[in-house]
Amino acid sequence: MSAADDVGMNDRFDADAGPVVRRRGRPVLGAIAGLFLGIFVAVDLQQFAIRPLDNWSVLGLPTLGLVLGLALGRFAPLRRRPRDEAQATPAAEGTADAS
Amino acid sequence: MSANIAAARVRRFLVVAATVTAAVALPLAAAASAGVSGPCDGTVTIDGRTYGPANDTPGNPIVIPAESGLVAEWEGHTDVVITKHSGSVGVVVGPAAIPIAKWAGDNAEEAVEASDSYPIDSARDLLPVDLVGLYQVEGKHDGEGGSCSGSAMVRIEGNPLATPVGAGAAVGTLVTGAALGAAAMGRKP
Repeated sequence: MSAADDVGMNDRFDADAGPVVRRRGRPVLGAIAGLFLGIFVAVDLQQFAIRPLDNWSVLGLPTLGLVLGLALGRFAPLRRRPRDEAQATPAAEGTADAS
Repeated sequence: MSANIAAARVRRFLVVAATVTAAVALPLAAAASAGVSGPCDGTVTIDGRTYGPANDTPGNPIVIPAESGLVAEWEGHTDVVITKHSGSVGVVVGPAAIPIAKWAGDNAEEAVEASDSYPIDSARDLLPVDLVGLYQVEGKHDGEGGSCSGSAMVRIEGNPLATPVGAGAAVGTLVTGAALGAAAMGRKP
């Protein structure tokens, strides 16, 4: 079996470097969380007498939350750094300072 | 720090900033106002303050204080005689309105004005839970001779966190916000 056969459906395969595991976000979690966050924010705004439950609040906020959640989950801008990278960075910086 | 890491951090900051800006600024846009259209007019007096069709924006609502024993005294009139009429009042929820009152009649006496008083506690007793917050109320009255429609904002004063709906929404916001944050952090490498 070739290396390419081991690569999952969501993974890329680099012809030179072999299988590359793609770091994936959580777009489904983001979309669901964003949708419900939009609904809850709409209710919060209504309860705190800032905006009634009009079209924009009931339809717009959940839609906005869904899209933003999907984007945040897909691109994961607050991505965790890998452990080995996090441990290696201070040492590397210390080496750079020493030199 | 390399230039690539710095650029990545700037990109992440911009995405987060844009998200926060959109989430905070957009809901503060003013709601559209409607007032009353047609040959109808009216006022309601609550706790010594008189309200009319101009009270149709979130910043200028009809205020119902969180006190017991209040009475709403209302009067309404039409410029023309409307017979065989029907009407309704409802609370706006998105594209729909939840009806809270309906009426109909022949108006054989051809009345053009009406007035009455209504104890607010009676309305509170009809609700299964305490409600506070801002509500858009819309209504219509039409029949032979003319038709009217309009809307108003009603703010029921009180502590939102002391009501089941308000407390539940606050907890839901925190939980879903945390879940969104987890999604934005991606999977563990």
